[in-house]
Amino acid sequence: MLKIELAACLSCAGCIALCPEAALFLTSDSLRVNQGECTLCCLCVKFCPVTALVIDGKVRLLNSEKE
Amino acid sequence: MKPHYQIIIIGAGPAGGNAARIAAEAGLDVLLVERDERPGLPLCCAEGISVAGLGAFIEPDPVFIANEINGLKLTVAGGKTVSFSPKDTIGYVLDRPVFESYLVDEAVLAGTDLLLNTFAKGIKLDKGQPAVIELVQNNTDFTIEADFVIAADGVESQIGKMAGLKTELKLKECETAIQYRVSGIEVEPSVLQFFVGQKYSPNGYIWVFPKSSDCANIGVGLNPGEADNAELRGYLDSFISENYPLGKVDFVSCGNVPKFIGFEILGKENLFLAGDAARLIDSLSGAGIARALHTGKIAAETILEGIEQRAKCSEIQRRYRKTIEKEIGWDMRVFQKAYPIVRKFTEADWNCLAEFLETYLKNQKAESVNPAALIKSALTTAPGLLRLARHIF
Repeated sequence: MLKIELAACLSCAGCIALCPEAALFLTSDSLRVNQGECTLCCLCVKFCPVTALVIDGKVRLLNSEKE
Repeated sequence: MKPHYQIIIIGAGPAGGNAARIAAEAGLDVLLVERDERPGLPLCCAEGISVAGLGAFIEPDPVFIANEINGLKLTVAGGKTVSFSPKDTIGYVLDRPVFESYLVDEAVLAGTDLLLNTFAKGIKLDKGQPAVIELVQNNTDFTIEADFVIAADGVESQIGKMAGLKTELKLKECETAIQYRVSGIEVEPSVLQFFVGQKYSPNGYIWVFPKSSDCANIGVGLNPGEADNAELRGYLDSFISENYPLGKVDFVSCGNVPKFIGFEILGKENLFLAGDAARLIDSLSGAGIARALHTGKIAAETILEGIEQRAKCSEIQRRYRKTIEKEIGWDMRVFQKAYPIVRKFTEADWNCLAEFLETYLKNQKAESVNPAALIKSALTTAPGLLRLARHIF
């Protein structure tokens, strides 16, 4: 499961630009993830400048970079 | 607020603010929609812009200029340092939140309607029909129609994606960046500094953009497709503890700096993308403010002309692309071609470039230096770099 460390996240929205499933979104106060849409591709995890995105539990590194 | 506008602009940054100002001054009926409670926040920017990049679109005003720049300095890790110090001002470090507010105030004065705290969650485009924008404000959903839409919603642009444009970004096509606002330091106030080499960033650079003589935006970027983002902060912390041990970090900002990949996502039907939303960012430097001001202007003017001439949307789209291509295409493509080469530069390559710059910039006047022409010239004539760029240009 993709977990957002809210204390670390600066809401820069850079991950939103990368998410191929549009699973990440900003609300007025924080970044959220729609777990049903997230495929654990980890593009956001590999991008985050403040490592606020982490995979919690069983890691399932699928198509980590779609080329 | 009305149920229908001639233009709705999503995003009150430099592209959206400038487009709104120009469209409203020309007498169009304009709505500007901003997600945050005030323009310019959160700050995800080093705030630097060249004299030409600002002055071509808006009269420089001390209100939004934190600092004037008249020098550039490039330092190669364990190697050369090269400076460019023309007599004239070559750029500014802006106060972005004030700058954006200034642009938006001008737009509102000219008659733009402004909606803050409002998120654009959907768009419906239908050939020959007004676009329908779905908006949310304070948990209340509503729709507004527009003859034309300018999406200036930044790097994370969702409007383009919702409209079916291929805005998908790859890890290799972006840069992850973090920046501290550091105060309590001594810094040359009029010089933008760049630090390159493995020590500073595996495939990016560290920048020091002074806001004053005791405060600067200091940041680092790297390409996360080829380097580990978890290391990013370490590069910046090491740099600051080594160079500014007494500095105090006032706040931290970060962001995604996508690379220009061509003019493929400029719009469709009556939707036009401008600035970062269309990924009009210089691939090498990551500079985007001037491109945003510029393409916001082109979008507004092209739509305005289209309305006056009752031109078809397809024709307006064609003109928009053609004008952008003509005005910034060559420069954008040079940086785009140079980026994969420069990203792999070793310290020896950087030293070759520094040597080239030393000769090239000697006695040059600021206004005669075009960064794109300079980098092309370096990669095609510097003896040490030719082997890398021979097949590229």
